[in-house]
Amino acid sequence: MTLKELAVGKSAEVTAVGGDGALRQHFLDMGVIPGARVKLLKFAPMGDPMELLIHGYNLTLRLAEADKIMIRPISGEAPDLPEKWQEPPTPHPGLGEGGKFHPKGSGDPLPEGETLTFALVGNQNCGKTTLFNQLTGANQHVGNFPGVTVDRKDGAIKNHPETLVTDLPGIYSMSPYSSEEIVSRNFVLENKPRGVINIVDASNIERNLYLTMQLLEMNVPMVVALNMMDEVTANGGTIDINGMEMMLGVPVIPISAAKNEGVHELVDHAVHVAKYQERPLARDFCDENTNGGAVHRCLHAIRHLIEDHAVRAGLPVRFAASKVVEGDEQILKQLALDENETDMMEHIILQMETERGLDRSAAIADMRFSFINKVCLRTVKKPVESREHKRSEKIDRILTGKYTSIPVFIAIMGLIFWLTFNVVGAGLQSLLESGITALSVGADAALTAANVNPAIHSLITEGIFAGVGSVLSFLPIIVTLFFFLSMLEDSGYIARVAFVMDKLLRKIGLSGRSIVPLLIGFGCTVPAVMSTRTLPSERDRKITILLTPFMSCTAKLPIYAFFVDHFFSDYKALIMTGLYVLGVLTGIGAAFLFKGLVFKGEAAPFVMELPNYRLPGIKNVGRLLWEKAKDFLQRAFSIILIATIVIWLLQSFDLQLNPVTDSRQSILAFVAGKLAFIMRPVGLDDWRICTSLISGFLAKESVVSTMEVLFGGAVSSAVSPLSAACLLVFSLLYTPCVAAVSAIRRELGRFWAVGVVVWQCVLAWVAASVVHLIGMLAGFGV
Amino acid sequence: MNAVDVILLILLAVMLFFAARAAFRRKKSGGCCETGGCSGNCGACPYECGCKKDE
Repeated sequence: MTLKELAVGKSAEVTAVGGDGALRQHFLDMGVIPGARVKLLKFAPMGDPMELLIHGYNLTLRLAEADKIMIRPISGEAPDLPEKWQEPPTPHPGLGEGGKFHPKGSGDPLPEGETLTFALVGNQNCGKTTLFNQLTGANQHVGNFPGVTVDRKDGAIKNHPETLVTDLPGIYSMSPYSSEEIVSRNFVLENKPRGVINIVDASNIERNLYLTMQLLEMNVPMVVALNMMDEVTANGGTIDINGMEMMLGVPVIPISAAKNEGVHELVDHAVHVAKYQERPLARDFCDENTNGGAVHRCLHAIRHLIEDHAVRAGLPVRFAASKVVEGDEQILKQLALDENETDMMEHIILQMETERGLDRSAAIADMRFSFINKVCLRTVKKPVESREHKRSEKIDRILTGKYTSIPVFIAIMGLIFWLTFNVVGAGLQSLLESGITALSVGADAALTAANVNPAIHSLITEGIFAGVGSVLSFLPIIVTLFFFLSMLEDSGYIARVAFVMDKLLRKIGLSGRSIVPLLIGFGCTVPAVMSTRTLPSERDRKITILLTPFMSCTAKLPIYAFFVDHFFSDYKALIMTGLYVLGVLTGIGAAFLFKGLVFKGEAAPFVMELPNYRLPGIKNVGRLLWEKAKDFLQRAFSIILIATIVIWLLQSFDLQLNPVTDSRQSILAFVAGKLAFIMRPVGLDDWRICTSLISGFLAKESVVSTMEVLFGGAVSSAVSPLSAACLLVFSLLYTPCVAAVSAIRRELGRFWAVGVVVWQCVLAWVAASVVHLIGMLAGFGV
Repeated sequence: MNAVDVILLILLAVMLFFAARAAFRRKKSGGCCETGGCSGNCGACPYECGCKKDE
């Protein structure tokens, strides 16, 4: 039978893994190998995907993929490890310390002054960025879902200026599955760091050690950081560090990155192994006595066969040999074997497959997991079930429950918007607004008293204070929304949303994983576009990037709040939420269009790990809010300030540079008036509105500051409610700001970036025209 | 123009200079610094746009 047919709560043993290509390799790398025991925990509310317990962690995959995995039902629970652990008497091997590889004070260190480069490598969501922040004192953003880091980041270890640590995106193995995994693999292979800090989630050790095996094969000086050891010990588990160090042949250091425990010791060992270039003592994990030794003989034969090619290509020989057996195209290309060698190799592998009874990829994965089982059996006493996991199970009964998950998701999002726009954010906004008004009045009085030149007076009060001040007052709303989004992200809920939404998203041609960039898009389009790198399929990535601008970013909030305050203040929360919903609905429509016309085909398979829920870290949330507030203030006092001054100048002088008393004679009125006809069918043919919308391309908040300058605070008397409604719809849908377009250009190229600008402007124009037409027909026209 | 006008004009010019410099740096950083791409830490900017050199 297949995994798809397994009943909820039942356990089974995997007998064969079907499918082909990168996805199959990914299954194997995630521990779905013949012999692995799985327990079906639940199905998503819409019946697909499913959530499994395997190797002590929760994995989700779709029924279509589960149908390719053959199983044999077993009775009872599926134990993670045989329970044979004994109190270890292992002496301390002392790896990574003076005295083991060389007498203390001697050795063959790298020359003084040479930078010790380190790669920080580990599985997704194992705490790499938390450790990076502890090591370097940086403030990188961390979150509780797989794939927060999508590109490499560098920094020197504190008090070690001779070092450079690179935080890499999380990977499950050295067989790249998504573009972020390629970044990590290429870094280790091509940049050749002096050392590797392999961070391992001690609470999920079997799957994490799979990557460790491959890193050891690469023969780079390395230390293993066993992160989250505090959780393991708090739950009654323990790890024989000395025993593990002996078996892996590299220093193993227990740490808690979040609590900054063990990090100093880790740094000492990492610097030592890199300085003295102490390579792993263990690289050969295939046992000649295990399963008849077929894999052992195959790997060693191929190792000798390709040795000269691997050395020429600068690849570690043992690593290259196992990748060749797995059929890794990139490595095969780098090795440039001739036809005869390729034939010989193929025969060796075929013989191994026959003798082992498994195909090549499964045999290699099985070899690695067999070694991991030996290590764990000897050195790991796992807690029966961690408190964090138990707590997550309880929470998930509601948050991913069949009948509760979607209502809870809608309620959570509704609550966030209500609290942001009606309670917390709005309250703080009115406080700040009154402060800014008082300051503005004070400045006006002071300038009048000082008999300042009218032009300078006008620039300061009607230009800077009106423009920048109007934007600044929205700071509390933006910070409040980011606070709630970061709480969702830090708690681990976003990964659940992906699980729950997968089936719905598949209907519009996307995978559940796309929900993460889309939700980030409510904060800002740029990181949302960047976070699509976690998606394994290029097709999904393109569609998701094209949809992120429809998720209304916080920079558009001031526009909505400004117009809703002026025109629809009785229905504030309703209209604000309605605009967000309209953005999402338009995005869904656009996705159907993309799926049907441009990106035909099916969404990528959904294979994702569900992390345990964690309490959001106050420090992390606080840091994120501070960064967002700082960033918003910087924008207000750079781009928006300049735009405000330029707009004020252009509306205060005519083409001969004479001051004007009526802004209809200004340069701005002349230029923008030429373009206003385009907006006539939309009901927005006022040159001041056109100018505001154009300035919004620089930064969305500029729309508000420009309006304040041009209308002199009298927007409500100059614009009709229908035009305000059209403007809201146009602002929601028209081109993303220049920063977002530049991010799209970096990810997809110039063609798509220009395409997005044109397509969204046309779409916004059409949608606003429809609103205008309906409004006119309903008798709301001026 | 009185002395206060001159002082205000100088202050405005200085403010504009710093605003333009900040805006230029943000443009060079590809927008990542303003959005959490590097959490405001330009030294860790994921884009190889050279903004690291300015910091």
